[in-house]
Amino acid sequence: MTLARFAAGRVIGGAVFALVVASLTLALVRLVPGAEFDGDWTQLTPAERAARRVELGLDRPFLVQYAQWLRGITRLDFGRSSLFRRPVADLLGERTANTALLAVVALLLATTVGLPLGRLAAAAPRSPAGRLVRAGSLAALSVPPLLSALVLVLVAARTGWLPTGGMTTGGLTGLAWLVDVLRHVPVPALALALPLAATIERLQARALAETMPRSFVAASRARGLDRDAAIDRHAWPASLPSVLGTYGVLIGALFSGSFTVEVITGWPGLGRLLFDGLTSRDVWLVAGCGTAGAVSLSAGTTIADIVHAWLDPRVLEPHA
Amino acid sequence: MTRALTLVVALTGAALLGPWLAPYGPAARFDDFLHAPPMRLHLDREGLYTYPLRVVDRLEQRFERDTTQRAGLPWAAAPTAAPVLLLGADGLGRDVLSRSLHGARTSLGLALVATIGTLLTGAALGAWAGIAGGLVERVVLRLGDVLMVLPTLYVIVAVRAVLPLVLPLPVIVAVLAALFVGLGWPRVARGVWAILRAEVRQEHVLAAEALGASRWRLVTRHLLPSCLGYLAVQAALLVPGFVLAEATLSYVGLGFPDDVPSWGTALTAATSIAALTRAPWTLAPAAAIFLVVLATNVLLDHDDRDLPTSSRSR
Repeated sequence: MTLARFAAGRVIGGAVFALVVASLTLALVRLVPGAEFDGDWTQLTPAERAARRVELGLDRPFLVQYAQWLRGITRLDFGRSSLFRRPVADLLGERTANTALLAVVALLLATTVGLPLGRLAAAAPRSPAGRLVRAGSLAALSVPPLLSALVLVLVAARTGWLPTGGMTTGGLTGLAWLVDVLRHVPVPALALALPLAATIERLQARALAETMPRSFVAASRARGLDRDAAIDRHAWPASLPSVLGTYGVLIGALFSGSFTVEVITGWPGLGRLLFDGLTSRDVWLVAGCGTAGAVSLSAGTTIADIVHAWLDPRVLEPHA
Repeated sequence: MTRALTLVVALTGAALLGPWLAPYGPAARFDDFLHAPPMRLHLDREGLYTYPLRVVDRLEQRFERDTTQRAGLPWAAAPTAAPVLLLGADGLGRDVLSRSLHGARTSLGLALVATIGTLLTGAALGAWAGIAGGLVERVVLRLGDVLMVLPTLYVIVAVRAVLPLVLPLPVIVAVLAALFVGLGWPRVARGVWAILRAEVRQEHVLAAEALGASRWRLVTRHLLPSCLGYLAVQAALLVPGFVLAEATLSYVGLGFPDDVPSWGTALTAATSIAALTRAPWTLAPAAAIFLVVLATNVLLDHDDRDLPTSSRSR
C-alpha cells in the first residue's frame, strides 16, 4: 500500500465517522423520548411556542429536518441557535478555533515535557532523577483534568499570578488582546497537559527501554559511541515512531479532557458550547457541536495516523 | 505494591463503613459554621483533642480558635456541643469529612456496579463473538470499534442531558450504570475475544472438546478461566475511570442531585472561584479521587513486569 492510498482511506474513513456521529447527534436530540427540547419556552403562550417551532423548523417530520439540515451543512449553514440568537456556523467557527488553540498548546507542552523526561527515565532508571521522574509521572497520571483544573484554578486564584477563567478580559484589541489571551491560556492548557505529559513520558520510557537492548544499539556502542550518544543518535530515534503511533488515541483523550477543563475554567470552547446547548435544549446548536466535534476529532486522529505512517512506513505493510 | 493494596483496602473499607465512620449526617447543617476551616488535631498525654472554633464574624465567615477550652474528637463529642469539623465545612455548613465518607459509598458503589456490569457484558459478548464467529463476530467487533473511538465523556454528557434533568434516584443510578456499561464493554469484549481465539487451539481445550464437552462447559470451564487475569486488569482500569466519570457528571450538574452525597456532588461546593479560594478544603473529595486513581496506577504499574524501570518490589 502506498502512503497516498493509506491517507485517502483514512480521510474517507474519517469523513464517514464524522457524518455518522453528526447524524446520531441530531437523532439523539430529536428522537429520544422526552427530549422535547423546549425547556425555556415554558413562559411562552401555546401560539408563540408553535410560531417558534415553525421558525426553528421543528414542526416538520424528522427525515425532512434531517435532509434539510444535511443540505444546509454543505453550504456551511447549521441553522440558528435559539440560545445565542446567532447563526450556529459563526459560533462553531469561533469555538472550534478556541478549543483547537487549547488542544494544540496542551499537546505541544505535553510532548516537549514528556519526551525528554521519558528518555531520562529509561536511560537511567535507577538514578535519583529517574526515580523522581517515574514517581512524578505516576502521580501526574493520577490527576485527571477534573482535578488538575480545580487545583490550578485554586492556585491561580490564591496567588493572583494568572487569571482563573475565560479566555479574554474583554475590551482589548490588537497586541494587548494577544497578550491577554496568552495570560489566560496557561491554566487550562496546563490542566490538560499534565496527565497527557505523564502518559507520553510513560510511553517514551517504555519504548526506549524496549529499543535499548536491540543489537543495533549494542553495535553503535561497539563502534565506540558512549552510552548517551548511542541513545540519542540510535535508540531514541528508533523508539519515537511507536510513541507517535499513540497520538491518534491521545487526541481522543485530549478531546474528552478539554470538556472538563473548559467547563471548570470557563474557556469558551466547543465543549462548553455543547454543554450550554444541551442544558438550554438548543437543537441546532447541539447538532452543530456534534458535527464540529466529530470533524475535529476525525481530522486530529487522521492527521496523527498519516504522520505516523509517513514516519514509520512499516504501518503500511499488511501484518507488519 | 503492598502500600497500594493497603490503600485500596482502606478506601473500600471507608466506602463500606462510611455512614458509620462519618461523625455527622451528610445533610446535617451547622448554620453558624459556613465555610469553617478544618480544625487542627493536637496530641498530648490525655489523647487527641482540638480547640473549638468561635464565630468572630458570621457574615464575613471569620472564625478563631478558642484555646481556653478543649473539644474531643467528633465521634466522642456530646451531640449538643459545637461541631468538630476535622476537614472544615462547605458553603452550607456541612461537614466535609462526613460528606466525603458518605460519598465514598455512592461513588465507589456506582463504579463497582458499573465495572461488574461492564466485565460481564464484555466477557459475554467477547466470548460469543469468539465462539460463534461469522456475522456475530463481525457485528460485535465492528460495533465495539465504533464505540471505542467516540470520546466517552461527550457521549455520556449528551445522552444524560437529553433525558429529563430531574429523575428519581434509582433511575439515575440505572441510567449512569447503563451508560458506563454501554461505553465500557468493547475493550473488555475485544480482549476476551482475542484470548479465546488463541486458547481455542490449546491442547487442553481440544482434549475437552474431543471428550464431548458441551459448548457451554467448554467456554465456562476451559476458556473463560484464562481470561481472569485480563479481566482483573480491566477492572482496575475501569473503577477509577467510572469514579471520575461520576464526579465529572455530578460536578456539571448531570449526575446525582445535590442531596445525594457523592464525591462529585461534594465537589460542587467548589464550583465558584470565590467559594474555592475561600474554602480550599472543599476539594477533599478530589483528594479521595486522586487516591483511588493513584492506588490503581501503582498496582497496574507494578504488574507491568516487562518494564525494566520497575524498581525492586517492596
